[in-house]
Amino acid sequence: MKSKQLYIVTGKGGAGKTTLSLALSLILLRQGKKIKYHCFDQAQFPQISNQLQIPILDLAVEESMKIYVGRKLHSDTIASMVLKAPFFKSTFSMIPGLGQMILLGHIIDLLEKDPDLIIVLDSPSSGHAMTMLDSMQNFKNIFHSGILVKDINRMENFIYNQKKVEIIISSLPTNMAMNESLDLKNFFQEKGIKDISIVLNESLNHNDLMQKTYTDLPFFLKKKIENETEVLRLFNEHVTNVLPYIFKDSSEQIIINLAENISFLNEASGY
Amino acid sequence: MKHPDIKQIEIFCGTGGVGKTTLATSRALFLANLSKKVLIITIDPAKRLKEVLNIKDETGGEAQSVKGNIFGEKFQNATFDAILMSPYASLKRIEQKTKIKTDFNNTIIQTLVRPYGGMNEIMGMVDVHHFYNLNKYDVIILDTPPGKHFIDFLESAKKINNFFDKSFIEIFSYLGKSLKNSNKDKEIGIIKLLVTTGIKKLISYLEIVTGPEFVKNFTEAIHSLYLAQEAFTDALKLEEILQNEKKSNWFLVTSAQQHKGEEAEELHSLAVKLMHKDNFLLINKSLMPLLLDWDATNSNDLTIIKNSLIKREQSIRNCIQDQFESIFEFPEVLGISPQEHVAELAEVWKKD
Repeated sequence: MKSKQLYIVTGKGGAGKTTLSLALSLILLRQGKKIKYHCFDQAQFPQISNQLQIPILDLAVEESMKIYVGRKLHSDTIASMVLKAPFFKSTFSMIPGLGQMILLGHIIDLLEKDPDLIIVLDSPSSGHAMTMLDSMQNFKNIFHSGILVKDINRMENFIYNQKKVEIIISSLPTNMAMNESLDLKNFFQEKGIKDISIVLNESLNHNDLMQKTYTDLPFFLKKKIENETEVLRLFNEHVTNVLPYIFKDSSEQIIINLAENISFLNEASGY
Repeated sequence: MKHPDIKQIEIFCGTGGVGKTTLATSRALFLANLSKKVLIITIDPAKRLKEVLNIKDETGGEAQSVKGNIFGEKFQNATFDAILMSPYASLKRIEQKTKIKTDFNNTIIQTLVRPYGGMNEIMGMVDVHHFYNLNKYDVIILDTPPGKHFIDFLESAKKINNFFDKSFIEIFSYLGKSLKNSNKDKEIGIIKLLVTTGIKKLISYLEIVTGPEFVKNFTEAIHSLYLAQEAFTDALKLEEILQNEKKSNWFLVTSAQQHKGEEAEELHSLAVKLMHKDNFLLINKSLMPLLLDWDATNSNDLTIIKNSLIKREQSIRNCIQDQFESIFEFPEVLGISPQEHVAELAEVWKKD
């Protein structure tokens, strides 16, 4: 079975999106896939991905815009002139969604040109991830017709293709994080995206050492584990995979360890 | 340790998941309990405030009254207002405020102010200033979006300023639109001609990419925004207030349990440049006193757990605490409901 081409990892801030994205990249890399990690519209993390030998896709909004406009005007020089004009520059910076959409379009373009390529997208957190995906519909309304709308339709065909895209929501075993994850899942489902998994990170419950020593733990750690159990019980049906809290010092070790615990990929895509 | 004075604007910022919304609400509750008139605004499109305050209404944008009793009997006399920021509602307010009749009923504007249109940071700046000007509240508490988007919020004043740059008025003379101040252009100099022809060319390029209909809507949209220019540029004053230590408090929130040391450090060093002296580091979700009290010496496994949890809490402190004079620690609340968390954290503000 083939894997997806685009994995969009999002979720509440601090819920471990980057760690999860890198662990996912590592799994795909070890399966011999041609994979690239991309941190959407933010600074990349070359150091850690270097240590893990994960290839990075380094794209920035400004460059993507220049390439895109250049292609439409059949001239990079004119494109760069248009984008440098103070009026347009300041207009574009007032509407951040446009640049983000063009960047997403650029990523989809790369995937369409190379069907073997897989991109793991370390996306913005909940609210801003919704903005990223809603930008396609929004700019279709805005541009109404013309060559841009054709491009946006192509993007939408890709994003809403179950065979190509999967959304992974990184969450934590707390009420707040789980409610935010469900809001997100509903939003994406309403948009027509089918493959969405919620992955619960940092579960003390699923840590071997914690389980082994449970009866000897102090009251506050027992209470934390109890709370987690309650959250897991409440949201059980929505969670695809629970990942343990990991006692490791370095981020690489955590990522390597996580990669060993991820099972949702098998379920979702059936390797 | 310096206790924060109560200021007219109190801003909570930090990386994602550290508890900004919960802590900001605890501050609102604490101040409301002192009989202050408090407004809390969230400009994060994820809108967790809704959950913390038990607000059912999704649309947002208007001030809603929150009764303290949802946080327990102790707070039953407290009440404060809350707004889930909505770019659409902010635009409506601007429309009403603008003296010259302007029409925002334009596809582009209406689309961009939808809930996930991406305009939260910029409209947030305008909205906060609007409520500050009403003089209705003693304190306005700002719950900002996470990480990079917080910087977007701080930079929105600059973006607004660039957008309303005087030279852009030229575009309207070319397009035959008049603006209130441009009654009969006086200086038709060579520079103006150059600018005008430049714009003509740019517009023709834009038409190739977007089609003429968009260009028409686009210029109309910008024209309406320019007519309401004052309402936007007025918001630039908020930037001054945020840099005035008599008028604002900055609370940088971090979690003792977060991994993103580098990101927090980067954000904090950026924010430090923008902040004035009256800033506070709030370390949230701290288990440290409990961990230090815990005797785990009788088992190797327990020692590993203890040391590892202490190390995690220590690493974030090492990263950033040197940059702050005033540090407040908030305990991790061992309860499930967000209201329990707020109530317990509100107590911490009382301590000297």
